Amino acid sequence: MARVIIIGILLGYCAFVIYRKVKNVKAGKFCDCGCSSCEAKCHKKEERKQD
Amino acid sequence: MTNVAFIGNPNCGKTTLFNAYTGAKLKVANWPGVTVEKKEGAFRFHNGNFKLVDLPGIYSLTSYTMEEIVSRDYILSDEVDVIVDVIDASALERNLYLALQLIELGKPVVLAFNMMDIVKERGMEIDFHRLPEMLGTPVIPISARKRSGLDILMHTVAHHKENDSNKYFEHHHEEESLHKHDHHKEFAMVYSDEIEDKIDVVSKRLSKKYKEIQNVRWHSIKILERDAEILKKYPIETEDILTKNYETEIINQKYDFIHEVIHECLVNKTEKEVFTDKIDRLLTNRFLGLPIFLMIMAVVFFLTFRIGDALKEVFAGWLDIFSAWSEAVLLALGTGEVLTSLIVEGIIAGVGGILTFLPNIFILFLALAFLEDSGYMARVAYVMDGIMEKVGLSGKAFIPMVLGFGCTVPAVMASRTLENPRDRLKTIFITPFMSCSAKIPIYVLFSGMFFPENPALVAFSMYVIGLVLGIVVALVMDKLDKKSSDDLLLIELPEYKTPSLRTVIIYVWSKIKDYLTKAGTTIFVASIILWGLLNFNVTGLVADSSESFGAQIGAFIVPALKPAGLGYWQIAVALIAGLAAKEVVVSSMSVLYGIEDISSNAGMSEMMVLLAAQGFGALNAFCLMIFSLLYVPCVAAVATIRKETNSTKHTVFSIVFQLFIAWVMATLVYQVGSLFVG
Repeated sequence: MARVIIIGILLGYCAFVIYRKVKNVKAGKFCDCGCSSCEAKCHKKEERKQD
Repeated sequence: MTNVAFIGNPNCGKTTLFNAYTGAKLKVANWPGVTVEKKEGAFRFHNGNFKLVDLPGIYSLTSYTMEEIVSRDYILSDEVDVIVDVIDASALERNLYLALQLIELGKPVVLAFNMMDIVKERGMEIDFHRLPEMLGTPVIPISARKRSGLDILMHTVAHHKENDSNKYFEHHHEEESLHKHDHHKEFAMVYSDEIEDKIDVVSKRLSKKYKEIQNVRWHSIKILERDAEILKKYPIETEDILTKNYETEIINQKYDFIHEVIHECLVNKTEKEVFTDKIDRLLTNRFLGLPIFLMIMAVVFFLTFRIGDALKEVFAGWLDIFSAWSEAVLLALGTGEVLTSLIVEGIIAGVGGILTFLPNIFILFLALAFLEDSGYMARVAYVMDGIMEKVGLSGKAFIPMVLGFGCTVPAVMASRTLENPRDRLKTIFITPFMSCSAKIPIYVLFSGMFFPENPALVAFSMYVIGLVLGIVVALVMDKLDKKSSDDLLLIELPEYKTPSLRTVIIYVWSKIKDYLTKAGTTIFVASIILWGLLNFNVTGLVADSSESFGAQIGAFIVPALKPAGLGYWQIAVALIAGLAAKEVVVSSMSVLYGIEDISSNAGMSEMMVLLAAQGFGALNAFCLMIFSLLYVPCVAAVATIRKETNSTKHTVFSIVFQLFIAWVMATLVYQVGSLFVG
C-alpha cells in the first residue's frame, strides 16, 4: 500500500512540475521565475506580443 | 484614492522609496537603469488610500529613449494626481533639470530631496526655506534608505494634491525682465524675453486650436524645442515663429536658473573631497582598475569556497543522516528495493547533492549583493569600456556580461540596453561564456576532488577563462564584421554607500529561493528521469547501469568527447542532463555513481576512486569544467536567446557555436595538457 501511495505522490508531483513548466514556457516565462532581479520575471505572453 | 508617481533621475532612490512605502521587494541596486518598466503598489496613510507608481529613471522629459517615453506618457496622463520628483540632493545641478521640466508641466509636484547623508558628508547645507520660494513647490528632505522624512513627504503629497498652483515666487534675478508680461510672479522658470515672446504666441495659437490642452505653456515650450511627438499631436502654424531651433537656448537658460538656485540655496560648500572621489581615483584608475576588479572577484571566490566549503560539510552531514533514515523508513514500510533506490539514490542523492552547495551559493550572492549595493559594479563597466572598445563593443556590453555571473537569462535580456542591433547580437553570443551561478556546484565538486590544494584558484580560473574567451570571441567577430560600435558608454557612477541590509537580504533571498525552487522542481524531475534511464533498458530493470538506456545514449556521443578527455558515457550523460539546468551535471554524477552525499569529503573520495578506476584524472576534471563553462547554456537561457534575437537561425548558430568553442577549448587543453601530464 505504502508503495502505491509513494509512487502516486511522485508521479503526481512530477506531472504537476512538468505541467507548470510547459504552462510557464507557453506564457513566456522561460525559467522558474524566482529571481526578483530577473527582467523576465513579470513578463507575460501579452506583453511580449506588444514588443 | 490619490495617485502618486515617483519620478527622478536614474539611481536617485525611487525604488527604495517605493519599497519603503509599499513593503514591496522590488530589485534595487546602486547602479543606474534597474527599473525598466513602471511598477505599481498600494499604500494607506492617515486613513487615505494612495496608489504609488515607480517609473523608470530619466534625465529629462524629452522623448529620445524608451524610458523617457514611458515616464512622460504616464505623468502627462490624467491618472497622476501628484508627482513626487525624487532628487539626489548630492547632485543638484543634474537633478534640478528634470525638476524644472516637471514644474513646468503645471501639475502638483513635490520635490523629495533624497541622499541627505551624502550632502552632509560633502560638507554642504541646503536652504529648505529658500528653495520653495524659488521653485514654487514643496521641498522635503528625506532619506529613503534610512526611512526618515517619509511621513512628512506623504503628508505634503496629501495636501499638495489640492493645492496645485504655484502662488508665490520670490526671485532675485540680477537682470530685470523687460518682457511685457513679466512672468516672474507666475512661473519658477522664466526664459529670455525673446523666448517668452515666442512662448506667448505659440500658447495663444495652441489655446485657440486645442481647447482641451491643460498645460499650454509646457506644450508651447516643447514646440519651441521641436519635440517631434508634440508637433505631431498638436500641429499648428509655426513657420513664422520657429525661425530656429530653440532647444539649446531653452536648455542653457534652464541651467542658468539652476545655477542661480544652487548659488542661493546650497550654502557652506567646502568642496570637500568625498570618500567616493578618493576611492574612485584608485578603483577606476586606467591601469589599476582591471587588476583590482580581478582581485576583488578572486576574493569573492576565495570566500565562496573557503567559508562555503566549511558550511557544506555540515549540510552534507545532515544529508547523510536524512538519507540513512529515509532508507530505513522506506524499507520498514515495505516499499521494496527498486522504489527505495529511486528515492534514496535517485531523488535524495540528486536533489540533496545540489542542496548541500547552498552555502557556496549563499556566500557568492552575499558578496555580489555587497558589491552591487556599494556602487562598485557600475565602475566595472566603466573600467572595461576601453577593452570593450578595442574589441568593437561599447562598455555597455560589459553590463550583461557582469550580470551573466549570476544568471544567463537576465544577462541576455540586459543586452537590450545596446542600441546597435549588431552589438546586441554579438553581446548575446558572448554572454553565455560568463560563468553563471549554476556552474558553481560543478567547480566546487571537481576542483575540490582533483585540486584540493587550490580549489578556489581553479574555480576562479574558470571565471577568467570565460571572461577572456568572451572578449576574444568579440574581437574575432569584430574583425570579421568590420563594423565597430558607435554606441558610447554613458553611465553615471553612483556614490559609494554602505550596503543596505534590507537590499542585501532581498537580493540574496531571491537568489536562494530560486536555487531551492530549481532543486525542488527541475532537478527533482531530472533526477527521477535520470534514475530511470540508468536502471532500465528495453528488457526492463538492469543490474548493471552500463547496460542501461543512459549508457547507450552516452556511448553514442563518447567518440566526439574523447579528444577532449571526456570519453566516458557517464560524463556524456551528465553533460546532456546539464542542459536542463547546469546544477544537474552534479546531481547526475550522484545518481550515475550511486553516491548519496557527493559533496561531503567521504563522498568525494568515493567518487574519486571510481573515476580514477576509469582513468579520469585532474586533467580530465579541468577539461570537464572548461566544457561545462562553455557549452550550450540551460534551456531557459536558450529560450531567452531565441526570444531576444527573434531568430531561430541565430539561436541554432549560438548553440552550435558554443558547442564548437567548448569542444575546441577542452580538446586543446586536454591534448596540450597530456603532453605534460603524460
